[in-house]
Order: sequence, then C-alpha cells, then structure tokens
Amino acid sequence: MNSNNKSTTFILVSLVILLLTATWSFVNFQLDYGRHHEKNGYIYKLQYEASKLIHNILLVENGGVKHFDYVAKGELEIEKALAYLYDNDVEADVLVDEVGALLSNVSKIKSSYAVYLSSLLYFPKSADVLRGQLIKEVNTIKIIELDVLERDALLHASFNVNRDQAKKLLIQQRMKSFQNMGFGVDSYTVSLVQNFVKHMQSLLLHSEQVSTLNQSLLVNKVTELTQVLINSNNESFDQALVAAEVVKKWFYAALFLLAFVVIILWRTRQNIHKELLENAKMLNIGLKSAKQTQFSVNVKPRRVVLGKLYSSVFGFDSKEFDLSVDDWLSNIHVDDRAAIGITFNASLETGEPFELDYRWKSRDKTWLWVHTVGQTVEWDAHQLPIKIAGISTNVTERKRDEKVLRILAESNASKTYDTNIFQVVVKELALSQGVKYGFIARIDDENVNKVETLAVWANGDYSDNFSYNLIGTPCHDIVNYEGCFYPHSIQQNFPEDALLVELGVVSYMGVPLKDGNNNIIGLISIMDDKPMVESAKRRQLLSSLATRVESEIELEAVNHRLEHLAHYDALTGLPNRALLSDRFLQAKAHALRTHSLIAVCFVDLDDFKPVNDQYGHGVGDQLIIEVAERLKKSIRGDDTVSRLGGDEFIILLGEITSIAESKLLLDRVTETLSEPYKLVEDDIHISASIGFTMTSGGDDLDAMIRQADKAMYSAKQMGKNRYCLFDRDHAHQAIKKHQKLEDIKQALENDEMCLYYQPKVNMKTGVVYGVEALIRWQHPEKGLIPPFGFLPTIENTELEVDLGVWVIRQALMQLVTWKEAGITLEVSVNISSYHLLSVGFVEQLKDVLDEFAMADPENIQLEVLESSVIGDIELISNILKTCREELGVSIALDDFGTGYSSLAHLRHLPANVIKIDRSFVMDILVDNNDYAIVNGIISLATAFDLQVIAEGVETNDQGLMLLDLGCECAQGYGIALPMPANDIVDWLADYSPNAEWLEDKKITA
Amino acid sequence: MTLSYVASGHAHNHEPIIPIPDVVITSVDKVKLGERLFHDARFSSDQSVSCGSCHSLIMGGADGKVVSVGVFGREGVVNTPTVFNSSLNFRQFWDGRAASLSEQMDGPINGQHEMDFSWPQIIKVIEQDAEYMKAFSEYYSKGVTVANIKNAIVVYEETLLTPNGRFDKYLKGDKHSLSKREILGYQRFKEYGCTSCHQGVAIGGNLYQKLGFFYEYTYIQNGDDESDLGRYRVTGKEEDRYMFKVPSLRNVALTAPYFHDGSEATLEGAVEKMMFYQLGSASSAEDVQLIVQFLKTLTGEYQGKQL
Repeated sequence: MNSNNKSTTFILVSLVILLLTATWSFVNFQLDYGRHHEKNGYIYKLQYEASKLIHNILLVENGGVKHFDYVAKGELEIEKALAYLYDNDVEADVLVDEVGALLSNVSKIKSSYAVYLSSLLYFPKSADVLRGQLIKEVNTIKIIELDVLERDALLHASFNVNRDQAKKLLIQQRMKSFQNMGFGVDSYTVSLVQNFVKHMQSLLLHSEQVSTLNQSLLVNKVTELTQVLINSNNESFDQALVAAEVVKKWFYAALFLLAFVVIILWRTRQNIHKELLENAKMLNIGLKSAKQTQFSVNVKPRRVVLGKLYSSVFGFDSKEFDLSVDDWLSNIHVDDRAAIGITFNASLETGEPFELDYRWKSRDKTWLWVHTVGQTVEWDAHQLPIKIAGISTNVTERKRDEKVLRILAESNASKTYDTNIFQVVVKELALSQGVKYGFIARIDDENVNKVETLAVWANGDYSDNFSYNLIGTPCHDIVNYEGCFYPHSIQQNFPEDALLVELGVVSYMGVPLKDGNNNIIGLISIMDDKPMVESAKRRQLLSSLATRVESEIELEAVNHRLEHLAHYDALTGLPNRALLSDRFLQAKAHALRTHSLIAVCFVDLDDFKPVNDQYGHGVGDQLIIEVAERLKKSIRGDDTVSRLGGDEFIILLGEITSIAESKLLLDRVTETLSEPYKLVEDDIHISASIGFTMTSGGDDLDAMIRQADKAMYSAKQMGKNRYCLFDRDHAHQAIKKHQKLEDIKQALENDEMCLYYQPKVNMKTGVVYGVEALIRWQHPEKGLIPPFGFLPTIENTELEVDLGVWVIRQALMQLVTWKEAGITLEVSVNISSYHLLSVGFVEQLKDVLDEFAMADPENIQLEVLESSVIGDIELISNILKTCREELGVSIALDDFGTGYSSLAHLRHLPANVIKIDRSFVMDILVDNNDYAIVNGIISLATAFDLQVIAEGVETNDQGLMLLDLGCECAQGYGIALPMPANDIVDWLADYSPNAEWLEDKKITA
Repeated sequence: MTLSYVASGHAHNHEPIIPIPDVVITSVDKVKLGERLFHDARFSSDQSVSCGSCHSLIMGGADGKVVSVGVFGREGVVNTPTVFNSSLNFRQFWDGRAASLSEQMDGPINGQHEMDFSWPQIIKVIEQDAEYMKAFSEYYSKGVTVANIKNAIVVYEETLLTPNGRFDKYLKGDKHSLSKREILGYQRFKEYGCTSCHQGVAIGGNLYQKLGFFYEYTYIQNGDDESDLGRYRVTGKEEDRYMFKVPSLRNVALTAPYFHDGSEATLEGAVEKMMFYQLGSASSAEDVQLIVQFLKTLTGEYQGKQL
C-alpha cells in the first residue's frame, strides 16, 4: 500500500512535468510568432528612429537649436532598440555597427555644431573689435586685409567648405601673412589678433567638421541593412516554423501518453478501492448474525443437523432440522453439487476444515447463495472425525453486489470511450437491487437547482435522458443531506413531484456524487414501485458506485480540459494555432467543393504596447480579452478567430465570393475594434491594422499567414487603423518604387524640377490677379513629365516634404523676381497633406518666408486638397489657422466638391478661397447635376464669405455661366495654359481681357 | 504631438528654450513609495546616507558641497548634480555613463564613497519592513525586486520637475514676469552664444561638449584626476577627452558650487569662466551681471512652491 502510494506520487509528478514540458514547448512555439514580429518591429523602429534622428539633426543645423532635445530623445530611442536586439540575441552586428557609427556621428555633430554656431557669432565680433583698434591706429592696409580675410572665411565656411580645398589653403596663407604683418609686441592689438585668428580657425575647423560629419551621416546604410536583416530574419523564422511543427508532433505524443497514464492510474486506484470494499463487506457479513446459523454433522451416521435459526434464514420446516448428507446435497444447485460433494465428503473422511460457497434451494424455490465454514470438533482414537460443526451464511446479496462490481470493473479500461459507463452502472444497480428504476444525474454548472440525467434505467431498459428541477423532489434531500432513504409512501412526502406519481414510485434511495473538493456535483439513486427494505449494505453499494461515477465524471472533465488546452488560447478562449490549422483544412476542403474563396486576415492592434506600459499587463490582458470578444461578435458564425499570441489575431473567413465581401466584413471588424474600451477610468482608444489574403484553396495556412502579415505591415505603413490586401506583385513593385523615388530625388538635386505658372483672372474686371504654381519634371531623356507622372510615387514620403519645400522656395523666389520687375501677382502653391502634417511645417514655412523677406506673405496662397482636410479636421484647422493668422499667407481649398465636405467642415476651416473642381466646371453647361453642384458651392462660399474660383475653364460659355452664377474668378486653358515663369512676363504684355466676359459685366452693371 | 506642438508653440516658437511641462503623476502610491525609498538612509553601509542626503530637495536637489560626503565621511570625486529635472537629461552623470535614471542608481548605491551598499542588502532591509512589504505587494505583481525598487524611485524622480519658473512664465507669454534687466540678460545669454549648448527644455542636458574648448581648462582636482577626463573614461576614444555632458541650467542659482569639480562658488564666477574657456570672449562686468540676473529667473516650482 505504502509503496503503491509512492509510485503513484512518482507517476503524478512525472506526469505534471511531462505536461508542463509539453505545454511549454507548445506555448513557446506560439509565442515565437510574437517574438518574430517584435524583433522585426524593433529593427524597423531602429530604421525609423535613425531617419528621424537625421531629420532632426538637419533641423538643428537649419537653426532650430531646440531640436537638440528631439535629437537626444532619438538617440535614447535608438539605444533602447539596440539594447533590445542585444538582449534578444538578434544577430544584427552589421546594422548595429552602422547605427553605432551613426550615433557617434550625431554626438560629434552636436558638439561641433554648437561650437560652429558660437564661432559664427564670435568670429565677426572679434574681427569687429580688431577692426576698431586698427581704425584707431589708422592702419588702412591691415584693415583692408582684415576685411578680405573676414569675408573669405565667412563665405568659405558658409558655402564652400569641403568643396574648395585650394581656397582653404589660400585663406590660411593669407591669415599667416596677416599675422606676420607686425602688430608690435605685448600690445593689446596682438591679443586681439590672436583672438581673431583663433576664432577664425575654430570657424573653419568646425564648419569643415560639421560638413564632413553630415556627409557621412547622409550616406549611412541603415535602411539597406535593415532590409537585409529583416529578410534574413524572415528566412530563419521560416526555418523555425518547420522546427515548430516537430515540436507540435511531440506535444501530441506527450498528450497521448498523458491520457494513457491517467487511465492506468485510475485503474490502479479503482482496484484498491474494490479491495477495501470487499474487506468491509466481509466484516459486515460476519456481524450479520441474524443471517448466520449453526449446523453440525455426525460423521458416522452421515447425518446433518441444522441449527434452529435455519428455518427463518433458509426457509425450512422444523422437520427438516435433521437430515442425511445426501438429502442436504440434493438441496444444492445442480451446477455446484458435484464439486461441493467432493470437498464435503473428503472432509468427512479426513476431518480437514472446509469452506464452501454454493446455491441452496429455499422453501419458496428461489436460489440462495450460502457460504459455509466447518471444522472437526470431536476426534476418535485414530484421529478420525466424529463430529464436525460449522456456520452457514446467506450471502445472496453479497453475491449480487459482487456481480455488479465485477461487471463494472470489466467495463472500465478500454471500453470507457465506447460504452457509456453510466448506463452500465444504472442497469447493474437496478438489477442487483431488484428495483424498477435507477438513474445518475449531474447538477447543472450554472443553475444549482437543475439536474440533468446521465443515464436512466426504467422497467428493464434504458430510457432517454431528461432534466428536471431539484426543488420539491427527493433528490433535493440528497443534495442537502448527503443522501436520503424513503422505504415507502414517498409520494406523500413529495406531493408536487409529478414524476413519482407517473412512475408509481413508492420507495427511494439516493446518495450524492462529489468532486475532488467535496462539492456535490450530482446524485445516483434507485426507486421502486414497492417498499424498499433498509439496508446499510445497499447504501454502501450505492456509495461505492457513486465513487466510481465520480471518477468517471472527473476523468471526462480532465479529458475536456486537456482537449481545451490543446486547442484553445488560455487568455481569450479563442481557438489557437493548432485548431486554426484544422479549421483551415476544413475550410479549404469546403472551398474546393463549393468553388468559393477563403480569406486569411492578420489582425495586429495599433498602439497596444503603450496601453500595457501605461496601465500594466492586467489591463492589457483585459483589453486582449475584450478585443477577442469584439472580434467574435463581428464575424459570422462559421468563421474562426484565432489568437496567435501577443496582440495578434488571425481571422479565417470561409465561403467568400469576392474581395469586396471580405472588405465588407473587415470594415465591420476595424470599426468595432476602434470603438473606445471602458476598462479603466478613461476610455482606452486603440485600433487595428489588418492584412488579408485570399485563396481558392491552393495555398497552405503558413504561407497565407505570412502573406497576410506582410499586408498588415503595409496597412501599418499606410497609417494604421485600416486593412490592406496582400498583393503578390507587391514586393516587386516596392523595389520599382524605390528606384523611382531615387530617380526623383536625383532629379530634384539636379535641378530637373521646374515650376509652370497658370494665370488666374477676374473675368468680370479682366484683371490677372495671380498664378498657380504647377510642378513639372524636365526629364533629360523623357522630356516634360506632368505631376501625375511622379507625384503619386513620392506620396507620403520625406521626399514629398522636400519637394514641397522646394516648390515654396521656388515660388517665393519668383515672387521676388517679379516684384523687382514691378509685377505683383498672387502665387498659389499646392501643399500635400503629408507635408502639411509633417513636424515643424509651420516653423519651416516661417523660416522660408523670413528668408525671402522681400516677398509679401499675403501674396502667397497655400492650396490644400479639400479631401485631405477630412482626416483630422481639428489638427489641420489649427495648422492652417496658424499659417493664416501668424504668417499672413492665405489658404485655398483645392478640388472643392470632390472631398465630400460637409457644411460643418467648411465652417471650421480657416480657408480664404474655394477652388471649384474642374470636373464640375467641364460639364456645367450640359449636366444639370454639375450645374447644381457649382451653384451650391458658390452660394455656400458666398454664405461663408469666401472667395471662389473655378478651375478648368475652357470656353467662353463656361465663363459666362460661371459669371451668371456669381463666380468671378477663373483659371483654365480657356484663359491660358500653364507656362514657364519667363513666359509669364511676355504673356502679361500680350494679354487682353475676354471681351465677352467683360461685356457681361457691362450688361449687369 | 504635432497638434500640441502647434497649439502650445505660439508664444515661444522661435526661442531656443522650451518651458518645463507640468508634472504628470500616474500613480500617487508609487510616487510615495519612491519618496520613502529615496530618503531611506538604511540603504547605506553605515546607515547614514540616503539618496536625499546628497540630493536634498531643500538644497536645490544637491548638497551645496564641492564634493559630497558619503558613508563613514568618505568624500566623492565629482560635484553632485541636482536631482531636480534629472529625468530631462539625455544621459546621467557628468560623463554620461548611465543612459537612464534607473541605470544611474547603481552608481551611488554600490559606490564606495557614496552609499557603499548592494541590491541584495537593500532587499533584505525592505523585507524586514512591513510597510514596504505591504506597499510592494500591493503595487507590484512581483513584489520586491530590484527592478521594482528602481521603478518606484524613478517614478518619484520623474515627478521632481520644476515648472512655472519666472522665465518659463515669460516664455509662455507672461511678458511681465521678468524685469527689463532680466529680459536684457536673456538677450545677452543668446547673443553670447550660450544657447549653442544650453538650449531645449532643460537648457542643456542634451549633448556633450568639450570643457575648455577655447582655452585649455584649469582643473581643480578632487583626488581623482581620472574624473577630469570626462567621457574619455567611458569610451577610451581620444576625441572624447575632456568631453562632459552639458549640464542643465534649470535652478542653477541654487546649485552652487559649479562644474564637475565644484571649482566655482558663485554664478558670476561660473559665467565668467564659461565665457573665457568656452567662448574665448572677454566679458564686461555689466553683461555678466545681466546674465546672472537672467539665470536666477530659471528657478522653478516644486509642488507649487518656488524652490
């Protein structure tokens, strides 16, 4: 028994270890996905922060010294990302080195630039002081030399540093000869000269340093190396995936082993239990003296004398108390008789003690099981028996119980999963106890007053399971009092129990079922249509059957839990990757059969990490659970949501017929997920980026997840909170796009970009009041490329900002040139929304305006696409407002009418001008809708006191119609084509107003 | 980010200095815990030195000494920087060898001249203090760990910002918060090029610069000339010799003596030294006075009261 306990413990412990190991491997496999993305995320972050750092350094060098703060922040962010890569053994040596070099560069630039700045300040100062002294000394030659030196050094440091080495040498030579011009000894002048020289050297040295450092800063390879690293990461992750498959197989093997061991354990436990039961029963039998009786055998005459109690126990007449051995034997069941006869006769001859089990015919012709023990009590001189005495016991009931238990024992093990063990129990129980009904029931998990039967035996057959309310039934007593027994008249005790009446139940006995924590989880009971005799043994049997049933229920629960663990995510209860694979295979088969499509969607939460950081992992977990709930609710019943780990989910959509259908579903998902989460005091706002890919059944799940993952990254790059379809050509296109970007960048540097200007006129007065600046690419080979040939490529890139700045500068320069030529025109420039929203836009614009102080800010107009202001109206309004109120430029809403602006929008936008989109103007004479729209826009503009101008006016009649509607200003081919700046002067000289439009004015006047 | 930048950026758009943001407290409990830890002298080998001993909040976040005195009267090697606004520094220590406040902490705790203690010993002390144990088990799922102790102290240190100084009010648009001479002092501060290095929200603390850039600096050694080498001690690169973190000038009027060697007792002296060594510029007594007057407006508020 003791060793048995030890080995059980041992098995249990190894079992737990096995379970943990298997689970760990499995979970590890699951987490790897998250880690992979985390790694890539950090690598991308590194790249992003590096480019931001460079951007900020350039801002510092453009005069924004407070950007030192941003630079310092960027350095820390990069170090954090580097530390992550280091801590997680990401093999990124080359990238780390490159970024390290970048950081060291930045650190040097910061200090060099600071010194450069002060040198720039002090060099002219020290020159001034020296000049003052030289003027006092009236030293004209030295003054001239000083002036030349100062000018050359400043020019060189500001514009030519590192380009013109010859010039640098020349300056240094001049400086030397200047020093040698003789300033006396120990004089004040000498110290001033020294100071001047020192500041000059400092200026030259640091301007050179900053410039050199800038060069190497800009040629860093962070982006390329990042891509290389990401590619190799993806590759090794693919390999890891294969390895993970192996782990998975081992996990299943472990699970199988686990189930096997559980069964073995259970059987062992059951056997022990049975032994105990037997012992207890033997003792019981011994105590039941009422059912025992004495007998004696007189050997020589072969007579058996039965004790007085025999008659009541075995049902004999008094005359039968004394009978022959053969008569006694004839009363034994024919199957047992021969064997008993041999043993009994042998004992009579030898006097050996005996122990017999046999069936005995009672007076009412039923068979009783009898257990008889006997031994010799009198011997003769030859040691032969004279008299034998013994006790016989009626063991009929015990024999029946044994049969029940034996059947149960035989029914467990291998048959457990085939046959319903509960049915076996109720059947054998009812038969052995000779009652009509037996059943096992389990208490409902959610409603403790409700029970559900697991097996029912009635009238010699199984019956259907049913559930019923405990209150008012005898079963309620079982649950409350740990068992109950009603030998008769049960219906009077439970008048409301209709079932008792219906079945004609008279007597009832039941015991509760308990779980490992001693909580009552159900009951087992028997009922009969005749009174039942109280019997401790019967109750005992019921209890031991209860134990058997309990362990069966628990085993089921364990199996259920194991099943769940293997297929569901612990936190959210969503299917895990393993189950997803199964579902995917099913969906795939279905798709092939029905010729429909499957979509695999990769969902990744945006800005989940900050939530974790701010509120802790507890809230993070709650958020994940809530997200899981919302995902479940937003998909269709047959679709599957699975959690990959972290904040990543996979949605599997089956029976899809088109991309549009997927999009419809994903619209719902993104919308639902971006609603506020009320987990803490403030609402938490997050959103999700989703990548999805579709198949008609040909691809495998891993490949599809990878595709969806890539598309998810695109969704992130496009600004998060959206979905994006995986594009098979995407990778290829990305490379092409990169090349094109480089070309455009080069073109900008090579001065291949130029501005064309299209005049804007007031049709009513005939005055040319302004021009719109339009960008063109004068390609050396391809000729003039219009904006749509290259602007889409640079959309949402830093290059777009650079180009935007270039356009503004160019336009301002032109404004100044015209002003000098006596021409005043309002120049409008197109600003992309990305540029508008880029960090420091307002400051940048301010700086450029300061630079061209000659140009009047009110002659500059920013044209912003109406559609671009819809996104973040408040933010954009603020920026535009600042531009308008603080910088004095005016704002025009371009392409108006195509952006679905609502009235509310318009009221809040700080615009001065509305430009009616050409598409409406084009058909204004033929299309009633367009006419109505234009009319509406013009009234709207009038209502809000905004100027309005029509784009794309091509004919006289269009102009007349517009004038009729109250729109006075226009631009378009009907007035003039866009032209190079130089042509504008000539055009203006040749310009004569359109008389028809002017006439219109005369008529209305 | 952009929005707040634009919205709050109006008044001081083109100034090189940015006002200190208001203190945001995310967990009052953790701040209190950190405050207690910060001032607990049991975390030193002779039980006499707490973080607050050298970073006294009533002494401008430092201790007014040339070098601080640690356990058993041992003297440190460099001047103690203020703990106020230390979270705004891009790195900690004069030579920038710690990237974060959490990393910085290991220095004084293990330093022989400072607290001369260790984390295991600290954990032991905490484990015998029921109040600490209760707090840690309540606020941290993993209870008492080095990371959590550090976190509590960092959370506390992050609240040691000193916003609403008179100069910040000026930046935010209150043009009357400075006197004419102080405004003049600020103009001098910019004109002399001090803002090349001392700029941003902390007015410094975001770059390294060579001490003695224009003329070689004369060091006052405190027993350990190694510490005068600056960042060279960390990187071993020749170019980092004499490079130090540019210190923040916030509350500078309260943190004398100045420089890493604590060699200058007065603000006037410090300004003169900087002008000479860093800028190579002769300074008039008048300009020094004006700049000092400006520097005095950089004293901020802690817990609503002026320091």
